[in-house]
Amino acid sequence: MKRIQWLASYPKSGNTWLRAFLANLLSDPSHPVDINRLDFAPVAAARSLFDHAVGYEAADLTFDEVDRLRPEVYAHYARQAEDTIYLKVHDAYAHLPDGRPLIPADVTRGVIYVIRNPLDVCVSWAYHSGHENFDRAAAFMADPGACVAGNPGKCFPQLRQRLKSWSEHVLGWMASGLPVLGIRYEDMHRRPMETFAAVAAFVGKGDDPERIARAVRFSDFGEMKRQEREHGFCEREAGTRTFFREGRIGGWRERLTEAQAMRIIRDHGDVMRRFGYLTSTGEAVY
Amino acid sequence: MMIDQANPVQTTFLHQAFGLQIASCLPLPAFLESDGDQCDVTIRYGAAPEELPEAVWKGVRFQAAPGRLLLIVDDVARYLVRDGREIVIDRAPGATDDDVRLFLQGSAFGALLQQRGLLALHASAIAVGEGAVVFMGPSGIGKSTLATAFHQRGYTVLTDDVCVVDFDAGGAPVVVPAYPQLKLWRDALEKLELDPSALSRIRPKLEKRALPVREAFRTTPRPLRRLYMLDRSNEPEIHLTSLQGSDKFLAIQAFTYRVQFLEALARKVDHFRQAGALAAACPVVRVSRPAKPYLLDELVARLEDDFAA
Amino acid sequence: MRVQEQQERIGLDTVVAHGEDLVSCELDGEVVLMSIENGSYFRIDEIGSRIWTLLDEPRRVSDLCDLLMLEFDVARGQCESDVLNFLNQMRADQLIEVV
Repeated sequence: MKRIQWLASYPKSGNTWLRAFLANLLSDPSHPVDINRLDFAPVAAARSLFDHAVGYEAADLTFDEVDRLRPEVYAHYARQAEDTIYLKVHDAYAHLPDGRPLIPADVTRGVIYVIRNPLDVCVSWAYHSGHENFDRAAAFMADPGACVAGNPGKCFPQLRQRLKSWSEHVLGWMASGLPVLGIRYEDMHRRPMETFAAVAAFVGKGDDPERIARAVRFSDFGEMKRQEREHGFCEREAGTRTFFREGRIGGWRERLTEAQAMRIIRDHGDVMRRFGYLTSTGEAVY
Repeated sequence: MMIDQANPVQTTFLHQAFGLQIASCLPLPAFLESDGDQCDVTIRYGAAPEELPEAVWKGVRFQAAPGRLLLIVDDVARYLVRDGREIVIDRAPGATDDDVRLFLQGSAFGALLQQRGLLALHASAIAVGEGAVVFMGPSGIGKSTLATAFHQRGYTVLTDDVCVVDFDAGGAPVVVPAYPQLKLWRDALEKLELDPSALSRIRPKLEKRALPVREAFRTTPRPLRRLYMLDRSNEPEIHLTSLQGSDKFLAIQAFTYRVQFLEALARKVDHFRQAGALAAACPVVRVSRPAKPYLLDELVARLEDDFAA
Repeated sequence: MRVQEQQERIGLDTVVAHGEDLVSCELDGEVVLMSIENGSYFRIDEIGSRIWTLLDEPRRVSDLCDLLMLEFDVARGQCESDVLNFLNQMRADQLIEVV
């Protein structure tokens, strides 16, 4: 049963914004949906989803044992669902050692993949991780073995997620063979109506332009920032100041050194060029 | 230890845990030994099916029907839990005793307790005076860490992870002590300044170790004074909030141990009444602590103040 | 909450009572319900809980409003409209029945 709509991205690439838009689009409320109530799209790697479906705890399994069961967990929820379910996912699109994909095609309705300029991702990831060490963030983004919640001596609310490198993350999802709508974070800013209309159409809700416009307005960055300022945001990492920090395009220019920017461009140049982040002469577009 | 007359191939070890007398084919060193001749639960090796044909609900690795639950742990064992009285273990080749015990003492016992009509919470508990307080919450929230911190301050641990709540003759809730062992991640051991190398792993491949806490452990049920629901937030301070009304019920419901087994085991109505009775009888306090740092000492102090009040 | 296709709406002259396949408990004046049929939980706020308790026996909706107006400071028009909305929602969730 093709029930699952995946909301996929590398971390800090606009996934929350996408979810806020969809929450407003799907429920079409008279006031903006509370950013602390985006639970219509839980994270696929949530420990509780796994434990509930499996019947015993991921905490009693090795990471590899957990991964072997994850495709079945998603198939389980797809089987139970009466309607489309939305799952946020930061894992790289990957295959298990036995050849099965982590994200099963036969339960997938589609994938909305958000791409963001890796130069800006680097800055945002560093802040999100509670530091301003952009070299460390850039090294993480280049590491094919990168993962989150990957300390085996600790029990995180989320399961271990392999991210691979930023480039592999983008290419893996775009070439997954699943029905993918790729959208750019920068276009969510610069051309919100056009970009979000494509999202709405992709999830089968593209027939009401006013509703789409309202959802765009209710989920705009200023609105989310206002809500976080007034009520806080449950997805902010402890020890960091804000989740919705700047949300700007090209903010990296004031933070990264030239060497840091060059390193990211060297690591990810091909993919950056392909998705319009580098000119043919190798200049950063944003 | 005694020899099982009916099945001389299997040695039987007598234990007690969760207020039950248990005869087991597998020694369960975390449980207390028992010398009683009465037996509530038999654990034996045998054949467990790959499917439960009568199942009314199938999860990813469990299948259940009233009185029956089949739990499948790949490369470890299949467990068939029947009528709250018997667990049949079908071991996979290559599985270690520790592998087999971990899921036995967890989900298989969780199913067995439900089949016996008992309310079990996903919680640890400590003795406070003549009574008990309970710390419930999701995996990884720090239930065991907190119980260990109290143990280090001289409190008796009543259970870790699975907490049976029964009702006494007058209908008041009581905690039934389970067995004196805590399970701790490496990260928690560091916080508690305990040496991991002195403790055995609960499973060969996991960075999680068993801490025996037999001091002053008694199996006598204790009146339940307070339920704490542990939660984490990105706020810098610890907050204690008394829950009211339906929120109390929903907390108990959410942190019922293996809540996903209830429906297929035809336990939901009974569970609703038990959870409602517990919510009516006992204060429920939400404890929100910063995700990091853990503020363990401060948390212990705040809770001591709260349950002393 | 889920709203189902339903027959005619409940009106002031309709006689209503609890649904049958339900268990309930009351905590600090709030009622929690569980449908035995499908295992869903429902919670009802304080005024809703009072309505629920009054429906321990079948009552005409207008009589129910009379009783509520004695207890709560509310104008008849507002009371009737709130109660009808609440009851129709409860019925959609199969928590009450038309007798």
